[in-house]
Amino acid sequence: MNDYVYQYNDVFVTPGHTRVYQETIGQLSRTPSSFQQVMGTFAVRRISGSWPRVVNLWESTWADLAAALPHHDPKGASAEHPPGFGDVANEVRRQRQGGWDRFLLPGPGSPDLAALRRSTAQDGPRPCVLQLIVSLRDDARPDYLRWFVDSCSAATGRWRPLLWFTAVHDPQVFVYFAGPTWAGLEELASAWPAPPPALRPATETWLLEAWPGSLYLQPPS
Amino acid sequence: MPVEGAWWTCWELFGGARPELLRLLRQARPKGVEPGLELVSFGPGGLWPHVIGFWPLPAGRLDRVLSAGDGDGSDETGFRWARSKLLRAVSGDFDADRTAYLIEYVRFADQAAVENLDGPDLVFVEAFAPSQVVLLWGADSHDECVARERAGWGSAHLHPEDRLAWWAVTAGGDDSGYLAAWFADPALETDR
Repeated sequence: MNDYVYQYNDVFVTPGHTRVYQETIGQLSRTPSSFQQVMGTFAVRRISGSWPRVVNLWESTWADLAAALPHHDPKGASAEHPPGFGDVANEVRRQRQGGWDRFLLPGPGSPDLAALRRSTAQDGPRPCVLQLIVSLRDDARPDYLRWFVDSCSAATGRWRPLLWFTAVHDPQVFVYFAGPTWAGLEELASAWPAPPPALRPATETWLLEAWPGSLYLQPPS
Repeated sequence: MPVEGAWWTCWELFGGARPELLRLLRQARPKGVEPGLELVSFGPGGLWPHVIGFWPLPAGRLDRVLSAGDGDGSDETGFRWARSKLLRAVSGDFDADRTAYLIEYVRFADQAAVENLDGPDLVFVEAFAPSQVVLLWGADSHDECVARERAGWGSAHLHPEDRLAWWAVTAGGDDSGYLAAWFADPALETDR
């Protein structure tokens, strides 16, 4: 069972700073002060989505999240940081202009970071990602996730479900499919099933590519 | 130009002056992607400043366009905010001589409604949202835009779940200099 809580960052990067921002955020998440780990940091491919943006997905326990919150509080200037943390944080601020965050809970069967890294070791990395942000009635979300796992899993070859979440504060679900390369995306789209009309989903489609240093792409050490 | 089943992408750029946005849009078209239809949203009917381009993706080569990533030839430093959609052509064609289009983003409750659409110049469906469509309804003059609106233009009569619509004019050739003067004229009474 996946008991983690996830944070979705849609980051409005300073134009032209996508890659350097990803490298900085990867570095920041691995400092000794980090209470959360960035599972993946993704650039938005300009064929589908909003850009210039970066998407980050963080995984933490509720206890880690509680410990991290003082560092996000604008009044928390007195929060203790280790040497060097402030310099990196200032770099991040220069490389982005704002963003939109959501807390997410894993849907039934959605893997945690450790499971994803074992999957990477077994099947290889899957950096090419289809992200769907789907708005629904609250009571339709379980049915949508069931449909996603049951119907879309069978869609095609090496593209498979990666993660699936419900948003804590919105009637939304966030679902991810991933493949080893962009080859096969057309076949996936051609085979994509229509959701049951009763669900009435409103879908935003983004195509993302993971920064190669993303943790979920690394096999367990 | 749109062939049924072909993949397309549409890109919207926001922020900045329209001639500059149009220049950025044309510069941003990825390597290997052919020109299609470029439109400038205008005056009283929609988002502004705003431009939108519809481009066909090379058949069977979508992975190549995506794999180019940040090396796709676009200079991202000029963009403030952009959004795009991956589309599949369902029916229709562009007419380069059209003066303007009503563009609609429409979400139906049921995918079956897409199959029965009749009337738009062009119908695209979103690749991973088969009940969501992009519709283009053309007009040959601004007078026709107004006349069609008064008669009930667009998909409202089909009772979709959601729709967002606005007017846009065809951007013409490579010389976008006329746009600066054209958009500075609030009268917009004559056809281009």
